[in-house]
Amino acid sequence: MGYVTPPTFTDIDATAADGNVYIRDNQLALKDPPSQNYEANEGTNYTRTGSSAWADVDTDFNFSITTTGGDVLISFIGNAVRSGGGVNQLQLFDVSVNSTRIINQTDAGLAMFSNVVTLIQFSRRVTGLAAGTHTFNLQWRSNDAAATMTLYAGAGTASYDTRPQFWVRELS
Amino acid sequence: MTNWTNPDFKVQPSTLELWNTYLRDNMTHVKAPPTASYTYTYAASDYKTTSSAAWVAMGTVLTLSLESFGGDILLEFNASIMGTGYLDVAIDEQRQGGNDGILAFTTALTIGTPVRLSWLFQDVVAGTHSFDVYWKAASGSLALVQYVPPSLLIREFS
Repeated sequence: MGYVTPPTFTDIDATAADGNVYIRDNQLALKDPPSQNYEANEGTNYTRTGSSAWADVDTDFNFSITTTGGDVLISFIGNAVRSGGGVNQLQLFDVSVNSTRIINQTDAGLAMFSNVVTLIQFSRRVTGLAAGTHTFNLQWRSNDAAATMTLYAGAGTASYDTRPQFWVRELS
Repeated sequence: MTNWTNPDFKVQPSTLELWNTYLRDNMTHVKAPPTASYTYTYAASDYKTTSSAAWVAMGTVLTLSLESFGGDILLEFNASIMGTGYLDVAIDEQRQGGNDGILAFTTALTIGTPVRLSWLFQDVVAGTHSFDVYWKAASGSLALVQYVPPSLLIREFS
């Protein structure tokens, strides 16, 4: 059930239909808002080689939720590293919302990592979304064509058998 | 933002005014609670730096205020920081962490270290409050990095 903005009540003898919409359904919507979550526990880590173009990390992290018009909070945590390429090259994560990245710059994102295994964690409130279905895709890039990016995914890598989590949730 | 009023039905039968205050307005308040935020523009000229070894607020655009109606308040700060130092948060200029704050970070990367600081202020009394992110350098200087435009969010949580 979605959330329906309560009207100005003009009659306290509200009908059962009113009560079910403005009390029952709204409380249920606030208690359990639209959300989606993925906690990776894969056979292999997520990897991507040599491209400066932004791309989805994996379809596992491509979400679609139908909101009621409120803000959406996104959150990600995981370990990532770059191998190969130049020492100081820049690797970035970002999230595209309805196919437009939040940090809509080629060489900037919501978090960055390099050739040292990095704890990546970020959150971001997304505003201005009308009620309806919206997509949220975790994306990454490197500015070094010789680099290989790795997002550890519970695949049993020695010392880095860690599991990333990505979630989105309507805040209100 | 619609104000919150603690429900207290004393009148029988209930009046329309009570319904609109306790049901319509409170429901609307819970749906859109008090919120303040700031997000840097990519490569803006005012990315902050410090070389202070004592706690200092990042200040100005990263000082936010919010009118709370009582309850918990969530703070989320995201950035990448060059340097080695410490982070803390404050409500009404009262830092929450210890001598070395909430979070220590070391730049293992020449391009900076990603930082997410999430903090819950519990049982904040109703009223207007200010919120700050504090930092201090362990050595040398600290700088926010333009590749990850910093953001600060404050939101009443309950």
